[in-house]
Amino acid sequence: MPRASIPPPFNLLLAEDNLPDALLVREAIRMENLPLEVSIAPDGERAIHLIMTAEKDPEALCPHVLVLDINLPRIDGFEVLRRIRASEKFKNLPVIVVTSSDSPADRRQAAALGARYFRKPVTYDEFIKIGAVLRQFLIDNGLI
Amino acid sequence: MLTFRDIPIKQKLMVIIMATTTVALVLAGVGIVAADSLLFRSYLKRDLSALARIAADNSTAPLQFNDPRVAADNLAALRVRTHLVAACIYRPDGTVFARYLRPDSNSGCPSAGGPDEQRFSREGLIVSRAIILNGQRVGTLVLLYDLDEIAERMKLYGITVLGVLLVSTLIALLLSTKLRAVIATPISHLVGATTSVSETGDYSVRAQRFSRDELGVLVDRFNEMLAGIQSRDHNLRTALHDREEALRDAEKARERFRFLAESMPQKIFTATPGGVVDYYNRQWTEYTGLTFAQMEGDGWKEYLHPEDVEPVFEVWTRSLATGEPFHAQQRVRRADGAYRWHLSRALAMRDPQGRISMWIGSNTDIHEQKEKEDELRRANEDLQQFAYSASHDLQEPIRNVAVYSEILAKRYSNLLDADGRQFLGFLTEGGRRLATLIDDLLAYTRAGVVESNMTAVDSSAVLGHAISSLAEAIRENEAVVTCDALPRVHMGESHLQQVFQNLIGNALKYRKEDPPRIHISADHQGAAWRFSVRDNGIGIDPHYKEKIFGVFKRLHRDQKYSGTGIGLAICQRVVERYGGRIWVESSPGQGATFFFTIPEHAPRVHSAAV
Repeated sequence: MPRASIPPPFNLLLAEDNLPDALLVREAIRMENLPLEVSIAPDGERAIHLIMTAEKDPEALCPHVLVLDINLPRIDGFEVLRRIRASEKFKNLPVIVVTSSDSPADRRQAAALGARYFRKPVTYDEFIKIGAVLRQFLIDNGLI
Repeated sequence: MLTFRDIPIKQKLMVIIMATTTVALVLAGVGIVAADSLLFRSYLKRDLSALARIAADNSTAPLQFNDPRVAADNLAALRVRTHLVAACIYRPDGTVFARYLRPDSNSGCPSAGGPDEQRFSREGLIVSRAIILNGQRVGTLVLLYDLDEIAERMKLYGITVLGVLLVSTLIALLLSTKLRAVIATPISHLVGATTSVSETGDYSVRAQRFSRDELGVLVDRFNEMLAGIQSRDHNLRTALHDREEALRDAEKARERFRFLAESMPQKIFTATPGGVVDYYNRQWTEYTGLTFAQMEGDGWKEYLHPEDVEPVFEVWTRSLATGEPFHAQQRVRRADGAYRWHLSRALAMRDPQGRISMWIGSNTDIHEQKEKEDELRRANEDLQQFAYSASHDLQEPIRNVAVYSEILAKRYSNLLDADGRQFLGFLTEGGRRLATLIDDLLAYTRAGVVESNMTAVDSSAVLGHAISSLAEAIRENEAVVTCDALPRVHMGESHLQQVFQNLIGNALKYRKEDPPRIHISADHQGAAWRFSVRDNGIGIDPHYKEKIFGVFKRLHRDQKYSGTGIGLAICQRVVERYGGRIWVESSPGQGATFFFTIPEHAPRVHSAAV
């Protein structure tokens, strides 16, 4: 159902190597009718590249939110997160870590790097709840 | 030569009695004689005065008539007094009127003194008396009386006193011979008893008491003193005997210990309560190639690996301070310079008062074992890492299967027949179950890793978290969960919560018709805390009480008891990782009580981040 006022779309960078999961995240965003344009980075290296480009080039696509898987090829999610936190422009970028891991160590590390944590569930209905989580996340970060 | 002080008491008593008697009698005699002499003189004065008065009165007429012959006759009548030496009448002009002289007297009339006087002179007692007629002095009578009577009386008295002295001395001698025994005999017995004690050393001797006087008291006190000494002597002898026996035993024990220590394959040492090593057995010198002199005292720093010196010293110092057993793994240098791992233990030996008397320690070569353990630990860590990665990587495709088969069922089930829909259901369910199993496997892997930088946690608070996590299940089951005061324990918070959560979760799951009642408590047992989780559920057949802790072991295939059967395996892995153990006490239908122990002190653990 269309919203009364449609805010300007924000860019969401989804760093996810597993296409089925990426599709589910997109479906959740669509179903929640969030004002987000989704771009997908299939590995850590690509995610960092996009961020660094956005930092240098004002014309380039600038992500407003990052949804980050940990178990990424080439460079893992935490390394990506550490580099973002080290960057001047994106050190305060809202990040949700979305992962299959339920490890307390991973949860602690995500919290230490200032990221929200969402564990990927094994049922569709649970998974799709990431849409509502993202909505709340955008509200919490003052984007909507 | 014996002085009075040195003569026996018997003789002393006799001397004292005799001397006292003699002195008393002599003094009494002298006193009596002196008194009698004085009295007699006074009597003589009075007597002669009376005689003189009579004679003077009789002489007035002859003087009036101037008849000296009559006067002389009158005076001659006085001769009956044999001691009267002379009696003379003087005229007022001082000439002799008449006189009487005792025939044996060779002296004349004594000179006339005053008109009336009595005086003792060399010749004797002279008494003058005025002869008065019609108030006029017509002459003077003078009498001279010798004092031989006094001498006679004194002589008589002297003889009497001497006689009495002799008789009384004799009687005193006889009496004292009898009476001195009253004093001397008890003293002699006392002396006999003391001599006997001092000569024989036999304190059972007792002095005989003869009376209730001071000597009797002395004997009683002496006997009491002897009894005291006898008792002390007995105790002393017993103590001496015990001590000798203890010394003999100690010597025997020392010999036995030395023999044992020398014959053992381990390296044995002993140290003083202060921690100074004072004995090494032969195995030490043979192994290290060092002499005892090189190793004694602080010499152990010589043969220990430089990296181990400080940590081992720290543990040793702590044990010395607390008296707790010393336990350390250390590398000891062999004579050829190679270091080998040893397990070093030492226990404090305490005396009956609980004071540490010495430390006894052993060192066992565990080099091979240690190497194997390290190998095993590395292999375990690798395996753990592999299991973690594998299960983590497995989750993704399984989730794809589970979620997308569900999407298929949701969106395309109308394209399938009944069999197809059922098969798709199997696929979805299988995928979910596989995901759960992998989750559990991951949890199980994590249970084997003890957190580093662990601090003591409040187990009450952790239990609170576990109960919060289970709040919904507790509410649904209308369960009542209670607990006692719980201690602080050295354990990872998440691990303890996992244990509580699994045990309470099981208690909720395996319930009877009655609402579950679950009680958690803890008590101190030795050096560990023992926790218990008691429920009123269906209980467990004792036959299965070991089996239930196996991985993926479930006793019930029944759908109402869901789960993969890994909860208790996780609990066991967690508890054992912290050096504790877990077990269950139960019988079917009677509820179950799960116990687990957690050592009081933080264990030394290897950690790995998973």
